Amino acid sequence: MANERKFIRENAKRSLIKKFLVKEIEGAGFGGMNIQRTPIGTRVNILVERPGMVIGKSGSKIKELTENIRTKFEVDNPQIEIQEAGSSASLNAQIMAEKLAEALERGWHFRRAGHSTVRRIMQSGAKGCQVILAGKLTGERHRTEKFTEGHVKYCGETAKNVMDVGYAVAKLKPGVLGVKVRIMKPDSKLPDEISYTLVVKEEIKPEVKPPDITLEKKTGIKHITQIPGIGPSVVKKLEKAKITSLEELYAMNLDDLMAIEGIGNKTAELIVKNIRKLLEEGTKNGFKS
Amino acid sequence: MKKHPTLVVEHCEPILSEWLLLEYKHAVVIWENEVVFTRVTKKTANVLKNIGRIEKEKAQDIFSHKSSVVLDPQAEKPLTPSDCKKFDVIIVGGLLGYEKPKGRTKKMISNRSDFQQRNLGPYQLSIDGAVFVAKAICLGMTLKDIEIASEIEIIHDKVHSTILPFGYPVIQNILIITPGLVEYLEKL
Repeated sequence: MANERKFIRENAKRSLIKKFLVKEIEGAGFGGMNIQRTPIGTRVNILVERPGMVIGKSGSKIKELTENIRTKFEVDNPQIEIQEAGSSASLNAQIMAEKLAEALERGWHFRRAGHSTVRRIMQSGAKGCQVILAGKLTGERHRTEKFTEGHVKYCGETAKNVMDVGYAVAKLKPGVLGVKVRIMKPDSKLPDEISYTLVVKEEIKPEVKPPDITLEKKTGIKHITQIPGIGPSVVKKLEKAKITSLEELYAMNLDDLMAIEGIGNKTAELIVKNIRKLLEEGTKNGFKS
Repeated sequence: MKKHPTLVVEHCEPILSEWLLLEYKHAVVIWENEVVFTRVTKKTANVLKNIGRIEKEKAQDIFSHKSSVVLDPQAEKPLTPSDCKKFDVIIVGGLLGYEKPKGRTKKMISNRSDFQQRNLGPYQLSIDGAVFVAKAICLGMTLKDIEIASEIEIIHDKVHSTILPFGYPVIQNILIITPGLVEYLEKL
């Protein structure tokens, strides 16, 4: 039982620290925090859009925050580390919610603010996002304005895993407005997304069986220069492609011959045709292929 | 046969917004009989005199407490067809404003008078929605017979929509919504 109490106490403390930081570094674009226990103390990692506002002049603000966390929340030797959100700020729901709340406080019209936030998030590559503004936006009656684009998951394990949710409050004259931003990040994978790699099977060429009787005997040709249609220039090209024997030439089809540099369609056809002719003549003379 | 009771709309807002005016106009059309606007200020009188009878005083100062009933969401008893025969005046006002009802009718009308109170179900209704339900009950229906949508979503385009967390009556799958409200919300 003591362990459960400890976990609850720790989580409650974590929640209170987060609430305290959100209030203290208002305007710096709070994007989330993480607390880690280390052998020398407690490391508090804060993700912000504008780190300068958290550090302060000569580190005065960060020193004050560290001291407050140590005394108010009884944290052992707290060490605050600031991380700049940078280009990922547009994909951080908490930062975007706070930015939107600030824009509304500055007097932006809710529709303009909502549309521009959605556009910015989607342009950063998000798979989907939703902006919800609730309260007395204009006029004396409550209403909820919703801006949605792309995929949004609302409930269940999937929503827990793939959705980043941020909340902020805009304080306006008619009352407070609730701002909620939900973002599905670009790298999030939905359970129904199945990726596969297409394996293309290579065409297996039929093995060319060497003829039972050597081609030399069959055709009566000792060198490829004796084949009609193969002149000295073609021989040079064949030799360049390391084809010197009649067997090697016989094993090649039309495409293989055309792949040799300098041998065109007509020459290749002529070579194949003449070799076949020679073989047929050889068979007639008493040889079997 | 006894006529329908007189409808009294107590104007509880400091101003008369376009949204509210649309609801008042719709309420007058729905009720068909006499409609009196009470607690009307000088600024709003010019507009409201065109759609109904106007009175500067509050309803409690004009109408008999015995023969009038207030439609208060926090009342214990629901409105029944027999109430329409029993009472001469039905008072409605101060219904909407916040997402969760804050009991404005009770604070502004019921607590300041000895009027009888009746509810129209658990939902926070608009003025014209409440008048529609009251009229249906006066015509012989009961609260159970009337379907109420707990909230409605008005879709403006592919990205933007508006959710109104208020009750709107549905009759034969047709939502009874204030005419001109969708256009008004689009231009806001």
